[in-house]
Amino acid sequence: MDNLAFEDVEIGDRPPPVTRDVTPRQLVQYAGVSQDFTPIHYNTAYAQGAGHDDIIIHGALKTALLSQWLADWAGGFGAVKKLETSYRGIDYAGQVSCSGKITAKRIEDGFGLVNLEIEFRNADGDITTPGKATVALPLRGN
Amino acid sequence: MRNFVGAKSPPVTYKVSHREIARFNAAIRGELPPVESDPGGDDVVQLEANPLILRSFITAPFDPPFPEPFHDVLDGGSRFHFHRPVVAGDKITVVRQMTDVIEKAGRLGPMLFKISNVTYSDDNGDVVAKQESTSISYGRSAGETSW
Repeated sequence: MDNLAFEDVEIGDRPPPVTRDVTPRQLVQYAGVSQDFTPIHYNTAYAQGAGHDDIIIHGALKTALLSQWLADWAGGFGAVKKLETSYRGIDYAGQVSCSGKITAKRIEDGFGLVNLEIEFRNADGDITTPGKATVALPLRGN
Repeated sequence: MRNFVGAKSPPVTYKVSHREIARFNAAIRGELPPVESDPGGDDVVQLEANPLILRSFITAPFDPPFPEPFHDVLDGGSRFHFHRPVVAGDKITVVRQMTDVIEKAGRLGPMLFKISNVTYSDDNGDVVAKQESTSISYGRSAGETSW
């Protein structure tokens, strides 16, 4: 949706969730651009030595995927203003998803602000990274 | 280690390029970076970065360095306040301040939780974003390596 407006959303609404396939190549790519070269994200033997079954997704990549999902939902005139994530579980490379629901909305300084509870899920559907977000949406007619 | 609470890292300044943003955004979308000519002046094309590009602006080590006892590190989570997007041409200065150091026993044995606030500012001194982050270290001692 390109021009989502504050008036288009209501408390309880769920932005369309997205499913992504995070590959080992993406983890290597993210390590390069983020400068996070911790080997648990690309070296299987190292990850297993650190107590994991396999290489794991960077926590910050999970937050980045959530922020991208929110930004795509908000459209070109919206913006992610606040984003809080808590890494409660390990995610291995593979299928993941981003979802959430609107918990509050208000108008402040001429902007529509929407609060959401957000979730990052692993391939089994378990929430590994819950969080909260505030997204600014344009008011209709502005 | 608790004597590091309140310590600030020396500031580091990064100039952000269009290419850097394009590469970062591609990595988040799981796409290969675009093959494109540089658009020219950084002030011409205002490509917005995914806000998590901020995490690539690494803070300097504390001086003196934090006496890290463990080798393995996990990211415990973050709370970001984004004041504006990062765009090509920005010069971002990053400073970390330690706000708490907590030792706990966890699933992976003894763990050290380091809570810090990171401030990202532009060259006008305006805050671009603020971040509260939790870093968890655990496992092997800091001197061990196996890779």
